Amino acid sequence: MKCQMCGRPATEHVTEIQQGQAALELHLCDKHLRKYSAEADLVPESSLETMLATPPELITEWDLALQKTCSLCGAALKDFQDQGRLGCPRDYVEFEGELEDLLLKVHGANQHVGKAPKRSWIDLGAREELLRLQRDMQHAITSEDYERASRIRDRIREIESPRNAET
Amino acid sequence: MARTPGEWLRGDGPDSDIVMSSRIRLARNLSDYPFRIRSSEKDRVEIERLIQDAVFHHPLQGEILYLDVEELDELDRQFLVERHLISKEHAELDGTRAVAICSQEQISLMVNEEDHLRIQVMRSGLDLRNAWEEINRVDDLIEERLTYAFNPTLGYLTACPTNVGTGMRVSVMLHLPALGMNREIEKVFRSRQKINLAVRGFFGEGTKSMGDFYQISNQITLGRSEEELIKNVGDVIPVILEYERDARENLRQESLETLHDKVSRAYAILQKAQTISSEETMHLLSNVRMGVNLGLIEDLQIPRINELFIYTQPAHLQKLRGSEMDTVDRNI
Repeated sequence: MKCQMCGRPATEHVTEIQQGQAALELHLCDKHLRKYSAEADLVPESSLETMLATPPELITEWDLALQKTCSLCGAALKDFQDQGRLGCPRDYVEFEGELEDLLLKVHGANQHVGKAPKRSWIDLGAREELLRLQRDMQHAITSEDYERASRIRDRIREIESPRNAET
Repeated sequence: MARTPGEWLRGDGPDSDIVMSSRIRLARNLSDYPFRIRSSEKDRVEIERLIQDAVFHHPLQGEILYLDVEELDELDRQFLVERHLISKEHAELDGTRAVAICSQEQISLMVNEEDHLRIQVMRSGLDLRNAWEEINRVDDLIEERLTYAFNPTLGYLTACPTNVGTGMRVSVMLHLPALGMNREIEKVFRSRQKINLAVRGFFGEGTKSMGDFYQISNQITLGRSEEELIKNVGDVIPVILEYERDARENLRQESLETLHDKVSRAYAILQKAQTISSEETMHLLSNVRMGVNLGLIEDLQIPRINELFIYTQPAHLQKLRGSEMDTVDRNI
């Protein structure tokens, strides 16, 4: 059986059921299964199709948007479009806007409901700030600026304690 | 391991005439490392070490078999895939990755697959409630030693946004030969009110529905709690079970002879054939399984047939008998 997108051997077979529609049977090679999972499965039109339907001048904007990279891991939004996978947990923060639509389309929601890790948890942004503060405090102590160190320590406590209270 | 079947194959769980197994999977990642596409081998080694440490720190449930998947040869990897202990993807990836197996194969944890950690619990029959309790417990135990990537808005952060939130995939594997026979299958699935359920084949994502097996799972992972997701899948099942049972009963009443003949032929071929492909074997085993369920075959038990579905897969055959992929020399 041949892949319905490219004609190479189809090694992947998917049957998708959605409300009000007939069961859709697809035969794809693994590259196109990935693409399908990332695009067509989740969004009614693939972003590629949307892009191709767009006037030339707007395509440049789209290209630029795809260049956006994560400051932590360097993954580009384009990588995500190609592979359907993100680079690191921080991508969810850095690509927040772009991902929001996708999440709404896939899950019909953009807010987590349900389980959370049991131990006191610190969000990514706060975690980085914490690391930075800890380094600063260390530095302050080394240079014997104890007043500053004490202020930083208070700030650290401030960040950590609301989380502890929550869990 | 080749000689003992996984516990979930025993076929004595609730509704196990039709429900082969219930499975819950949780995707988790460590907060301080990139996901797979951006991780270096060094990252993967560290991730693996951290997770291995967490796995062994609390005895999850009896003995833990921990395997370095990179070191295993292809046959062994295929073997694990056939046992539903690792995914095909996990077998085929590169780099440091592992799997921890315990509780007679009911619990398995993949390290460095698409996500850093994928926990899976399988149970015989329809048993989602117990599966959830088990996996919830395992997740908590592991998490004591690790910091998961999580934020309150988006939940557990995963490599693919389709898994974000609960990171949970709930699936139930059903054997629906009667519905397959009277071509009612599509109607059944189309008539369901519940949306966003995916249907896949025996070996999960990307496999055909061979041997009349259908795997039903949730597609949404964000915006609903774990209990809700389980309920969504669980609520659909009884209706499908009823359809299948009705269909079986109809077949029994209206075409018992044809059915009996079909089932007996399948049984006979399986016993006597010298050479047979895996695909045909699955198909015939499916008929035989229904035959046993309907009381048409009496000298065979469901657990044995369930095992045979696995044992007749290529890697298993090679391990058990050292035989070629397509030949079967059988003793039922």
